[in-house]
Amino acid sequence: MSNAEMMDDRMLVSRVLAGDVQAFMLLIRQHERLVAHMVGRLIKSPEDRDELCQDVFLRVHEKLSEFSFQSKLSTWIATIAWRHAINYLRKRKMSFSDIPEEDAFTKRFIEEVNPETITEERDLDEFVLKLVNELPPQYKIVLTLYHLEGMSYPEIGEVTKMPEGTVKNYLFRARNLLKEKVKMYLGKEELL
Amino acid sequence: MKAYEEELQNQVDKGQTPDADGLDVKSYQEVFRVLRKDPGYELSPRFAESVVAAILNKQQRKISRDYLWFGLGIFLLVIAFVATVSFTGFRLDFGFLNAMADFKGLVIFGVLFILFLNWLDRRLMKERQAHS
Repeated sequence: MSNAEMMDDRMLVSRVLAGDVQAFMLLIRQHERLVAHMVGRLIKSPEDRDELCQDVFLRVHEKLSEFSFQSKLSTWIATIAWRHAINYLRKRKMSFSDIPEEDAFTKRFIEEVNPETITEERDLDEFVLKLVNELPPQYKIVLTLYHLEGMSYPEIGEVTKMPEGTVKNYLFRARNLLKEKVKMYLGKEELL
Repeated sequence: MKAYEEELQNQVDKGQTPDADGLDVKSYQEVFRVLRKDPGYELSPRFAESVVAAILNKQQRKISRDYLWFGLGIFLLVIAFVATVSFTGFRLDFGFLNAMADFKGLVIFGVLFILFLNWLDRRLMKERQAHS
C-alpha cells in the first residue's frame, strides 16, 4: 500500500471517529462502488442488495474504531461486505457451500447446455453475465475482485480468507468454464 | 492442457494476443472484456445520505434507551433506599464527621491531591492524543 493511500485512509478514519458526518459520507462514496459490485454479484434481489449494502456501511461505522491499518481500508470494507453477503446466502439457505466437486461441476456447467438458449441469446455480454450468475459465490467473488476492482491475489485472499493458491485456482477455473461456454456460443454463431 | 489454458489466460490478461487456437483466444478475450465491464449494479444517488440518516437514527434510539435505563436505575435505587430505610429503621447520623474533625488537614490534603492527579492525568492524555 502506498504511503499516500495509507495517509488518506488514516485521515479519513480519524475524522469519522471524531464524529465528522461529512467524512463518513466521503468514505461511503469512495467505497460504495466496491460494495455494490460485490453484493450485486452475489445477491439477485435488488431490494435485498440495497439493504445489504446499507448494512455493510452500518457495520463499517460500528467497527471502524477497531480498524488497525494492517491493510487498505478498501480491503477491510470488502471483507465486511463478503461476510455479510455469505451470511445472507446462508440464512436464506441459498447455494453457499464448499465448491462442488471439480469434475462433476465442470461437466454439469459445460455440458448442460440447451442449444436453443445459446442461439437465442443475441447479446454475448448478457450471455457471459448470465453464466457468471450460475457460478458458485466463491468463483463470482474472485472474478469480481480481480477483474472489476483490480485487487491482487493476496488482497483477494485477505478479503475472502482463502489461501492465495486457492484464489488463483478459482480464478483459473472460473475463467476456463466461462471460456468453454463462450467458445460454444461463438462456434454456433459462426455456423449461423 | 492446464498449462496451455493458464498461459492463454495470462497472455490475454496482459492484453497480448497468444499464438494459439483462434476460437480459444477469441473466447478468452470476450470473457475478459465482459468481466472488466461495469455490471451496472447502481445504488441510489442518495445512498450515502440514507446510510448516515440510518446511523443517526440508530444513535438517537440508543441515547433514548440509555436515558430510559438510567431513569429506571435511579427509580429502582430510590425504591431500594426507601425499602431499606423502612425495614431497618435506619437513622441518618453525621456523627462520623466529628471523629474526622481532628484530621482536617489530612482530609484537605487528600482532596487536593486527588484533584492534582486528575489534572495531571488530563494534561498527559491531551499531550499523548496530540502526538498520536
